[in-house]
Amino acid sequence: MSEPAPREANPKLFEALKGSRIRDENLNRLGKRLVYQVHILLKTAHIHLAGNAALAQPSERLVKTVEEILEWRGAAHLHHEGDHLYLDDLRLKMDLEGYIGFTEVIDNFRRREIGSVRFLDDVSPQEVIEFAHLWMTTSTAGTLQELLSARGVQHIAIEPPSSHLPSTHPERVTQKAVAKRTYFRTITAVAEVMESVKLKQAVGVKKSKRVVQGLVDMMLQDEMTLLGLTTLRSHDEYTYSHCVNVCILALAIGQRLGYERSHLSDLGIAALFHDVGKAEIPLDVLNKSTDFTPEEWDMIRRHPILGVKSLLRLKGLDEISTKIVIAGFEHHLNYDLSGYPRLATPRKLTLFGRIISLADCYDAMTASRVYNRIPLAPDKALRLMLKKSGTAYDPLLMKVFVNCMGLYPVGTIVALDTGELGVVIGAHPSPDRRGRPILKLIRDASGREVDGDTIDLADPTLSPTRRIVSTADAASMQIDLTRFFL
Amino acid sequence: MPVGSSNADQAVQPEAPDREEIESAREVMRALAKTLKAYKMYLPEHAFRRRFREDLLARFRHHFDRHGDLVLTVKPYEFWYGSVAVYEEPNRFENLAFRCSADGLREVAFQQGLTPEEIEGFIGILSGDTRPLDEDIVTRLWETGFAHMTYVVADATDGAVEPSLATGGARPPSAHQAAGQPDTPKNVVADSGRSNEETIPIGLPDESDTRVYVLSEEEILALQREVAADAEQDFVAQLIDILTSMLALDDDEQSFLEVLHILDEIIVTSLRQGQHRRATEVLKQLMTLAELGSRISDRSRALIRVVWTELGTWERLAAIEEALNQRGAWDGNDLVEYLSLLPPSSVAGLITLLERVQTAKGRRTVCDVLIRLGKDDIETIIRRLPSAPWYLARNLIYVLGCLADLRALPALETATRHPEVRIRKEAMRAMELIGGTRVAEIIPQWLGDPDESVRLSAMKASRKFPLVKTIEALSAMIMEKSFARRSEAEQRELFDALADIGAEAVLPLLRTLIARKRSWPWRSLESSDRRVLYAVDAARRIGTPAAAELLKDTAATTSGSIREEARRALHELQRAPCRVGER
Repeated sequence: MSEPAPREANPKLFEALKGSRIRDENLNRLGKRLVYQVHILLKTAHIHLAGNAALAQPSERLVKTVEEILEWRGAAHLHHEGDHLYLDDLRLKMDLEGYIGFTEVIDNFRRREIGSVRFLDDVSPQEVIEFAHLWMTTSTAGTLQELLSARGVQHIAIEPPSSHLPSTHPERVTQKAVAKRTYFRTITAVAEVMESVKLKQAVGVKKSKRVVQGLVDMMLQDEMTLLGLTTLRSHDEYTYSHCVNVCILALAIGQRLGYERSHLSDLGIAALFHDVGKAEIPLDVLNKSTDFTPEEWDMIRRHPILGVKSLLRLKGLDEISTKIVIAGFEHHLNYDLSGYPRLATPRKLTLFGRIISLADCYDAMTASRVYNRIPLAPDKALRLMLKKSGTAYDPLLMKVFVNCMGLYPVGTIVALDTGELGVVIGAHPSPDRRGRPILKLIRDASGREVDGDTIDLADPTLSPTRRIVSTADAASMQIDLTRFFL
Repeated sequence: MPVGSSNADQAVQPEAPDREEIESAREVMRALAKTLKAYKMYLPEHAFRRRFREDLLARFRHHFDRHGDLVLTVKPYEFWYGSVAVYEEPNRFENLAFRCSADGLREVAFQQGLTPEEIEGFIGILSGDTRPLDEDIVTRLWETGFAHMTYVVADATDGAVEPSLATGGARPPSAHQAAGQPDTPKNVVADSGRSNEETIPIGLPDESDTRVYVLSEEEILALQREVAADAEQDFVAQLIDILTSMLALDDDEQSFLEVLHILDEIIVTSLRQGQHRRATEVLKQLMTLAELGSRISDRSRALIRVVWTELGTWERLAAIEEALNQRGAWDGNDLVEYLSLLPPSSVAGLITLLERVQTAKGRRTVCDVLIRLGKDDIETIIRRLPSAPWYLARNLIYVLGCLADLRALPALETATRHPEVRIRKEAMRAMELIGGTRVAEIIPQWLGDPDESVRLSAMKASRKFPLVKTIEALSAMIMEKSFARRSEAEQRELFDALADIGAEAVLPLLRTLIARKRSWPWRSLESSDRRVLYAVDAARRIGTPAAAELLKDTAATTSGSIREEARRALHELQRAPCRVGER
């Protein structure tokens, strides 16, 4: 088949907008719409025969979307890599709204070993209908392409999967460096604010805002790199790194919920300072290595209230302080209000409060706390939290959180049936691959430390195939996680 | 959106711009500087602001059409286009580049399609007041998210130091672990205070249990609804709720006071910002907490009452002065509701507020509240009256009239002798509303007021208090030489009042007036005819058979207009006879 040449887009306009947000946002919007329409089309084709009128509207809509995309660029190229969908080189953001459509389309791509679908100029609704039906009846990309050609479908092209962007790719390395820098700048910003609170000076959050905005931008582009950084711990400055980790985890949840940028930024700030009340607790109590006395417990449990008072006293009542104060007050209340401080009358927790509560607990459980030098392995922490879904934690947000983190969250040490040991560096968002994360091999079958490959346990071409047989925690195995994420 | 770090390498070096292109960029920057100045000098609706903005947009478009994007490098005191400075400003405090550079901006690019709203927004960011502790140009640019602008921010040069990170596993295993026992987390979430008695899960997670991570369509919808509602969330209301919860916990006194103080500030800030409903809600919550039967201590209750009392002082009430002085239409119901919650001791503060309010609507609003609260503290209003300036006194008299309390009568009577006629009239009206024998006794005095409008009001009021003294006073006024000098309206009103109050008792006087019409010493035929006509009309108003007799006699013994008037009055009586008291 001779492929018609892609349409010439307005090169000056395109170049002028290249890299600009308007291009990305528009393409993201159109891409998500395209994915959704593909999903609907395939669902409809599954139910109805080719000539059925029910297919007319989905196919016409899809063609219209393709035409809009072609206005911006020369081709509408939908492809998947790993667990993501791309419109040409733009990774499409999956959020709550597109959740079902995305996962189903990715699943469809994967089952048929299809890497991409390319819609060309002048594609017609008839061709789209034909494509949908042939899709449902074939099992491989090659067969599908042959059938499309045979049926005279000239404006839709199918391609097999291409390779992933490897983790050592220069673009990945740069992203990691930027993420790391932003992470440490955020710790500094938190420390400055906490010091202001300790010294009872006026509190400004300008620097914190800047870094949180940076985290939001990064989260929208590369969630996994940031989540990897939450495995970092500062033993002596636990509070600061904890605040940053809670911020990142909260942003991950917020992003999945589909919060807009500015709202995500607010969430990030609220999460960053959820423990501002701890600035009023003496360090020797906070960092105590033995059990708390009842009086010390009482002091610890007062930190949500101390945070409210400190911040309002030092910052006054404004939009930002309000949100920080609310999150700070609520984050230990528990979903069923069984936490602290005890309330005289019940209240409905804000969404911010519930999100930060989840993030706070997960990070605390997986941290090397001063008074418990053995952290919980991430997967164990998650399962412990799942037991309390509906009581301590909002059940729906718990599900969203598991979606973010996977069943084996980043930082989990896993033992494989081959005898190898790996550390989870990425999770799969799709439901059927949640139990098969992306790993970096750190010990070979003989137990020797290696700087091993990155492998995707869900990759059907992985050889030899591997499966997880157990998990371990890094502390007991004396594994330094930081070198994998820094 | 920031597109990168200033340390990032440029893949392609653009061609050096030519002279025309540079000049175009310079024109844009000149227009931008002028527009910023205009925004500082003129009010938002001023035509100059729009003119400068439109000129700026035109310059941008001109540049886009001819030369494409406008990409500017931000230097400490200059903006550069390519390698040429296109903006300079010697005054550092006015220098736009200095501000942008200080906030970390290193490059800003404007793109084809830039809209007037985006220019407005950008100018707003550059010229608006920022809260320097919380935001700067970069954070505001990010928040606004202009579609046709990109920018580059300085890389980390702020001295961020990597903390030394402890490793997650660099510690020896615990004794438990060494013994191969499952590790029960000790204080594992101690700082979160959650129960730490659970055993750590063993084995692998159950991948087949999709309930833990698969969201149903209903669940997704529920979350979407929550997220949408969150965007509209009233966070301040949530905060208030939290603060009152903290109060209800009734911790130590110091803590209680601190939170109470915060709520007090929220009330005052809300009032200042015109959010009266919010202030009302907070006050209501405090009052509910202070009620007997609530769980807080008596001491705490007393503290709340102190705050409640202080809210009624002038220092606190001053926060609403601006709201009361606003022009145009506004809804005062929320404000009245708030003020009505204040204690009776607030009357003094409200009087001070009333004195300062300059709009009629504002004064009416405060008066309405004084009427509600003044029931329990009328003495304060009465005491203030003698020393009040006339405009305040008038309003206080109005309030006293509405309160209709006899205790106010002496002060009001004094006010009926006030030099200012508006005060005298208001005092009369107020006394009328209060009623009582004293009011009836004092009416003849009002009839002698030097101001006609006061006299007229007194005549109207006299109908409610028909005393012989009043009839005598009215009669005397009719008989006096000065009657002729009164206005027609007053002359008529005198006879009307006489007829209404005196009824048949004044018929002899009327008869005398009619009979002696040519005997008046002033010898003005016109005025004597007018008086007789009034007398005839008065008889008609009385309307009794005796009055009708008088009219018949008058018709028979007079001529001209008087006879006609008598006949007409008689005819009217015969058609629809009515008596005084039945009208």
